[in-house]
Amino acid sequence: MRLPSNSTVHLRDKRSEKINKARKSVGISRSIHYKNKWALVMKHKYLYLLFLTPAIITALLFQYRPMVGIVMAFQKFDISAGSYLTSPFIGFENFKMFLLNPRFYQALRNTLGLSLMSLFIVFPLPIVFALMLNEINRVNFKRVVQTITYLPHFISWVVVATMVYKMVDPGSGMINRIITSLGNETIPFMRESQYFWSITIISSIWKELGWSAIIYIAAISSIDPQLYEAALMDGAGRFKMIWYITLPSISSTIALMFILKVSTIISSGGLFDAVYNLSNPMVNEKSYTLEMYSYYEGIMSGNYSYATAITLTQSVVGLILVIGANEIYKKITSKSVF
Amino acid sequence: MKSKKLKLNITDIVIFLVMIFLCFVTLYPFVYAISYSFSNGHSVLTNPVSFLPVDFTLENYKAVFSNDKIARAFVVSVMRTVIGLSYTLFITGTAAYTLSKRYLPGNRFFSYFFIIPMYVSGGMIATYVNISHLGLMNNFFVYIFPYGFAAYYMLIMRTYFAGIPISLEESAQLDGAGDIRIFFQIIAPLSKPIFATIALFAGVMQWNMWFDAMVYVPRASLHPLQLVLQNVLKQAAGLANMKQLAQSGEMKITAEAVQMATLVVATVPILLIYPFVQRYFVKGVMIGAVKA
Amino acid sequence: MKKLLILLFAGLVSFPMFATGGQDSEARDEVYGLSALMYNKYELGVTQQLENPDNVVSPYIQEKFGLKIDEFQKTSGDMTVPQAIAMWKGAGMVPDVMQVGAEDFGAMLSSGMFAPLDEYMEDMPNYQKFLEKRYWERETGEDGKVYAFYNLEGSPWPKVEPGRNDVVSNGINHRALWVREDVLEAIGYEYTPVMELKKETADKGFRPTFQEMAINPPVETPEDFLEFLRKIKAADLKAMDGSDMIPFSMVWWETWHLGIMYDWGYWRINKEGDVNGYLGLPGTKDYMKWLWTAYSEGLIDPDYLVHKSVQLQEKVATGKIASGEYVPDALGTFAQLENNVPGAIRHFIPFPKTSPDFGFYDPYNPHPYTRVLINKELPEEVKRKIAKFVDWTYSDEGAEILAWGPESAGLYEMVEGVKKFKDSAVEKAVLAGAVDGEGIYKWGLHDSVIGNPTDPLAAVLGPVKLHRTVFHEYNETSNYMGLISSVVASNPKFLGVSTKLQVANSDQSEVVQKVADWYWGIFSQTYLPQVLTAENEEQFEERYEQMIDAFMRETEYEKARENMVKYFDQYPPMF
Repeated sequence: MRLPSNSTVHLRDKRSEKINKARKSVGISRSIHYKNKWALVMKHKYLYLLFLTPAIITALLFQYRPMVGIVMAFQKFDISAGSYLTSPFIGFENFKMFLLNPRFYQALRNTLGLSLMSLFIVFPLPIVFALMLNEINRVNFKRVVQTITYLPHFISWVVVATMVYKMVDPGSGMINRIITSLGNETIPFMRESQYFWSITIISSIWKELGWSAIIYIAAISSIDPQLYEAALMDGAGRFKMIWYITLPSISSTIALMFILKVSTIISSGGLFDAVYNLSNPMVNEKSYTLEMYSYYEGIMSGNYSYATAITLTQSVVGLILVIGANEIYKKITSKSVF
Repeated sequence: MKSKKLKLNITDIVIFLVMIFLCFVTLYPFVYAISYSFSNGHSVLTNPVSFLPVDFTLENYKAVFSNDKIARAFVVSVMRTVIGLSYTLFITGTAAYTLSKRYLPGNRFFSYFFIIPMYVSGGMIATYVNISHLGLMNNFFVYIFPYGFAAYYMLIMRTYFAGIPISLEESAQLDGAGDIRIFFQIIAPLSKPIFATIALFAGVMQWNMWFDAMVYVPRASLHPLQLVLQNVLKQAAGLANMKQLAQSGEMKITAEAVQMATLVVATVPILLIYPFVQRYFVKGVMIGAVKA
Repeated sequence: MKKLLILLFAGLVSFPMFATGGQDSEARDEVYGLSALMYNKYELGVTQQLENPDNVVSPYIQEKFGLKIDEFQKTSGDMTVPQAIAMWKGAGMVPDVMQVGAEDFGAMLSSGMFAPLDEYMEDMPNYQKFLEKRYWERETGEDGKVYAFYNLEGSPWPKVEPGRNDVVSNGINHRALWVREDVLEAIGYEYTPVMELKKETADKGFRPTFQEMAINPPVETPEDFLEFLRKIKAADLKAMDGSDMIPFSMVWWETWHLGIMYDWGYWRINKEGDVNGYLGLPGTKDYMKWLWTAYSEGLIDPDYLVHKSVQLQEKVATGKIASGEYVPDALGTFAQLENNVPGAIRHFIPFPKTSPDFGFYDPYNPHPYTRVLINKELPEEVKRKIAKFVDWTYSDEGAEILAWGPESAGLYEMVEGVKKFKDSAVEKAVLAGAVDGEGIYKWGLHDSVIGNPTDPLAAVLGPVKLHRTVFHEYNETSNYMGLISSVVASNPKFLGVSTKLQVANSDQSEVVQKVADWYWGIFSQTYLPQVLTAENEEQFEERYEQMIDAFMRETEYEKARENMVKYFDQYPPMF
């Protein structure tokens, strides 16, 4: 069975290997090597000038320029000072403060718990869904299913949270009515923290499954059908085709999404809106994530520098995670996401 | 294509049932919201909505549309969505193509350069000051320019471009085509699924965005639909309180019910767009490309 | 691709239209356009309509004072006002006039962006009529100067009968304690049904007295209240769907207000000269104990910290709650309840107290909640005009114009020596208050129900809830519930409103503000549920100690207390 041709993707290391080998074998000096590099740039100068430059300018203007605000993490924010640039500098005080606060560790534990669940449970499901969708032959049915399943994405968490509360209400909620009709005691889901993570994860799946699958659906649709035809000739069944054709073809997409998701481990898997709207004081033990911590003990307490320090820490860790995950990916497959 | 025989095996049935289940479960919240939006908010307290409206009324929608800013806000939203997504698609897509060529010098550097801001940000205050210094306050383009480049979209598109067989480009190069031409004439037509996807993502983001308008655009005439709807919601909450003080008996609306109507109004336009987008998610977009 | 380019081009071409916002009219040179922030913390306000062609008041004001509002700057619900100030300051975009609530005032002062107003106040006779030095002097800046124009409150009830112990209030205050009459019936308490009372009092235009509303045996102390709730529970009453009725339920933030029963609330100085506030008050432990007892015995809704407001409404409407406090959209909800359960009529009772001098301590009206700060960067001329305008809103002439519109607008006519609106739509809007797009905001006239001006400039700078009687003959709210709940709500004894200036929100300092923030953030989210769910007395003690420990440590309570001691030294109470 032939593998798809996009395995020519992972050029960078192989190519630079080749280049280095070529250099050595011919004994090319460094300066000539760099001249070659420059020649490469000139060869593709339009790509650099016209295609890359607008993006660079945008990033510099809108993303890098405000980064100066990071200094707030090292200050004690004082509203009477002219601006955040002149508030008193206190070095790592803010960081010390949260590292010494026991509630911080509670928040950390909750964050990790939720994001690991998100990573291992929520992540694979849209892929499975996209694969299943792909097996459907009736185009109309497929379209209808796609449209319907992505609807919940548009409902805000404020509304979804209220719906969830009503559904699991001990008195009038549908779930508990089913439970009692089966002869069991009602379960006060939102009052006991042990259920919080599950409820958040399930609601999250409910809300985002269809939408998250779109990227995989798009990737699948660009697979050359001839691959499948060839496989059919070889006598492959449905599952073999998925395993040997579909999955490898979208593997770089899956890898990309996975690595990006890994980087959200420190930010509750991107579930802040969900947690914020679904949480209440009674389940605080499990719902107090790093973002909630930053919100209540930073922003709501007028302590913006503190909040900035926490966010900055999350950012740095997230960045390390994404780069680290990519390095691991490179080692395993000699491909790279970036 | 797969076998055209109408063979129904177990897997097909399972898939079918799963899909039906998913459809029902994901559709129900919407049905609930729509029914609620047509219900009398007070009667619903006693008789919760299941599938149908309770005490059918149009009052909630009246509350939503009573704001005469809706028409103009709708136009603003459409403009920002269309212009915004085109702008983003162009800038991000071209950058993604460039970066999909790993052998180009600086590839690694620029990759990191673009990805770092995904994680590190200066915070709300610094961002606000920046926008102000750039002269984008109260300006329509505050909806467009800052979103020109999105690293997340770039990564997705780059992965896709990298998956296009290099032989296509090589043969075009032999024919003497330059980079730009290759991109527009060869790569782009093959990339319809991904362009459609990113257009959808960027478009939805633009359509749903209201926070930037609230903070950066005090001028009401530039407000997008979502912001106006947010105000309607707040108003409804206030109205619910105020109506209590009034003796007027027509107390049909509640904040909840108006919220549902708002949700429906905000979402319906997007739903109408999606069928057009789905056209591009068609299999076999690469047929014939390799052969050519 | 081509399509996209065309669209982009179209966008660029239409840019001018959007960049300048199209419809905004050019301001005349003499009219100064102000940017404003309007207090919206609880998002109860109606968004002001700035471009309303039917507004008759704004043109008059522009003519007379040369002022108008150009735009409203907003903060989002999640952003605090001090945060917004920081943003605006950094960008040089602080609004010209800012209406904020008392809790944000301290931060406003310390930003140093606002002008002292003492010199202007000297020339504001009408405003001074309603202002009392002993109230505003407590909120001066560190230099002893006044930094805000207050949106003064205070509205005499239409027909106040001497001797009926009424205190000025402003309509329906939902923080009154209510119990259902059918429940009173079921547990054998005596009372005069509200509907009967109504005939004798509200229908005749005045409010009932406390004595008339009393129940027997009375619920006077927190222990009485526990007993009362226990009796309700023992009566084993049922809701509409057959489930058990809950004796008491409320919204999570009402925990703060229920503490009225004890020595609990804001910063206060008592007759012995002792100063304390928030969780540092001596009544804290008693109150927490009471709550814990009630909670563990199932007397309070176990979901009260959990359920969303709409869920509370549903519970009330379906007869599930026997007594309570604040209910969102009370009128609508209780209308449903009365429909569903005949005889389930709200009967208000005063909050039980350990002592009449204790508890919760809302600073008293007319010490107002919202106030307006003026950006110091405004030209001198403009500041003067603003002061003149504010003064005018408190004058008789101003009241007239704000209520009826200028004579030239012709909205009213004289009928038998009494003003009457010509157009029934206007009349209806005035009666109904600010409702719908057709509401009183359309014409910019005074909202007689809440008592606020609706013209944008007057809404920001003028009085609130002032002079309903003066403004209209159209201000009879015949809703008996409103009348009756206000009985309870208006009495300082009931609601822990301190009239003796023994209470303060803060001294505007950061360390004092932190105490409040800790209560609303960390205590409410983390420690309160822990204390409530303690399984036995031992655990309660343990968790309570943990909580107080964290509180004292993390808020520098002692420092804050010292600040407040100094504050009350400077502004002593009027015992």
